[in-house]
Amino acid sequence: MAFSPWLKVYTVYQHEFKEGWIPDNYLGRVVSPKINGEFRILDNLKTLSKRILQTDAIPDLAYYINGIWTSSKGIVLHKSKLIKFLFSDRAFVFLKKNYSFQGNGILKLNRDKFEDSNLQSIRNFLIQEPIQQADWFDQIVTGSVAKLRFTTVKSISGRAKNRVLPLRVGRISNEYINTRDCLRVPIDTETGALYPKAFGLDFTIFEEHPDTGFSFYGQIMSENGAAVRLCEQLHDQVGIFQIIGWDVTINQGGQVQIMEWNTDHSGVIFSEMTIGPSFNGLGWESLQK
Amino acid sequence: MNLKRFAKDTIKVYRQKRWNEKFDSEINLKEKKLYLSLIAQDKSRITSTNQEKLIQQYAMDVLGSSDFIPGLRSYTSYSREFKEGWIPNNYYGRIVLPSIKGEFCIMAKLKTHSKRLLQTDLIPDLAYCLSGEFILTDGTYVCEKELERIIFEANEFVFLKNNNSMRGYGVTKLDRKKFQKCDLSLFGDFVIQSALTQHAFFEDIIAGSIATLRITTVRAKGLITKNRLSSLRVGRHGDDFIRDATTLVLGVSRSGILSENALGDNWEMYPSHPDTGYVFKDKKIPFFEVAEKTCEDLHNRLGLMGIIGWDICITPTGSVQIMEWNAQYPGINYSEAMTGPNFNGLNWESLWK
Repeated sequence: MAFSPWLKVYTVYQHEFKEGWIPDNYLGRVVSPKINGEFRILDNLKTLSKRILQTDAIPDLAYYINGIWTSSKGIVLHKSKLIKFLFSDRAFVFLKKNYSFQGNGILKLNRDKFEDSNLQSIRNFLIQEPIQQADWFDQIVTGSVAKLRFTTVKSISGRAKNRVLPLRVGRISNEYINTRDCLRVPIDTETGALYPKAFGLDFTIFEEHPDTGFSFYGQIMSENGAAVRLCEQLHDQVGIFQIIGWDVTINQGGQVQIMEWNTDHSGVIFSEMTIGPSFNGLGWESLQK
Repeated sequence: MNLKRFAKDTIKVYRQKRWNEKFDSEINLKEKKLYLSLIAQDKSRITSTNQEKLIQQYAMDVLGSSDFIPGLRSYTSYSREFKEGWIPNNYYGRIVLPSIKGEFCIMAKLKTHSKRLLQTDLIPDLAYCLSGEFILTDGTYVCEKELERIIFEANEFVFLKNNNSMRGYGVTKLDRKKFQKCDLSLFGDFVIQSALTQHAFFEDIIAGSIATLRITTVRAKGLITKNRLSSLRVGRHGDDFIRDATTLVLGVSRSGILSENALGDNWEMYPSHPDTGYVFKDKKIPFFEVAEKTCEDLHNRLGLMGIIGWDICITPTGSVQIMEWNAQYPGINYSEAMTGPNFNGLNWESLWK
């Protein structure tokens, strides 16, 4: 019974019930603990994701752990050299706390702000390089970096495969994507076609971006192939989890950048509702038995 | 609403109290057994009235409860004197650890990803089985036949370790024949490690199993990450690897010198190895400082977590191989008795307040 509210929401939106839909709370409460196991808290440890995933596609610059600064390679950085290391080539950086998610716990810092703020009061955090998103995203809205949210699934003895492909874009005033403000645009995994509508957190429907007038209808996102492949490959290499959510973007140089990974419960509400069911054939519906 | 919160808090306090009592009573039962075992072996180790007074005072005034008396008593009995600064096992388990260990100490149980987390080549991993598939350390997927060829190319036998395995449980020694017969799908996620060769110093103590040097590093705010406590575990005749049940534990001094006795599970005292006659007293572990430095560096680079126990093998050339690391409950009580107090200056004795 606890799973009926989300199914109702999906059904109301589609005007019909579709078998195979995964309610969001079922994913979080039943599926994720069962298939990702006790180590699923690993993603909270932002300061170690680069080590665990072993990829250069994570834009980490430095870590601050228990009062000590280190580079992303683990070399201790002295405070005197830190400012030069961080700001000689860039105007600002992003600070992300361990445990931060959905845009909470992120700070955008330029050199002055960095020097002024009392960073010691924050326990453990990391500093990430700012990303210049590819032009394609800029036509939707500028100011924040758009995110693709993949959900790769890897069954026992199978290879990881991406199942959903929603895009998250910010509002004009946003410096980074946060759950409260951002718009969610589902994308067809086969064709890359954008769903003609975007959704706000409260299910407000937008046919075009409210700040820029960008119309979602008929748009194709064609640059995601490499990003999907990278996430699938990283998922295979990590090996232990069956479901991983990825926040990914593509930069000006066409390179894939992984901003976050999620091994616990990465939400699938909007894609399930619009283009789902996306998780057929995995046996998830019988996991609670 | 306030009443509800009050009730909730009361239940929480009650539950915690019950849990503490159970935890203390289990450990104290063991401590009492250890004390009885020590005095049965050597009557002169019966604690004196004066020692009892000091123990009681220290337990009550410094550590805050008489529940810590049995632990202090077994330490005193072994040392033949009372030493201020000792941390009894139950104080460590229920007061120190919850306060100093990070939430992520669970990572240390993830044997299949230790090499990534620690970013070091000093772990003898050969391959992993993850979600039913075999992956080499460089990330290449291989089939079981190919895996067999690769792991036995340079090794007569290998060790299979499950995620969550520790203290020898969940470790399987496999030669090629056993490997072929074994149904690997029954093991869940695991790592396959190459067999190690240990320095002659340890072979002289006893051959057959790899002696484990335990280094315990503590990283605390404002203090340099340092090895605080070391011990050496050696096997018995017939052991393939070190297991909790049969192993003998030696204290190791700050300069790497072995304690006078090895202790068995019930603190049976052995001044020499019961199977080989090797005398322990005043022997110095080779390359001890290298091992300490390696663990301290790894802990620093990992950041996080307050205390890590590193199980190490020292090879004939003096290089260090990490067999295991433990951040959940790295044990301290053998060494507290033999070489302690080991944790001075960390303010652990005030954590209960």
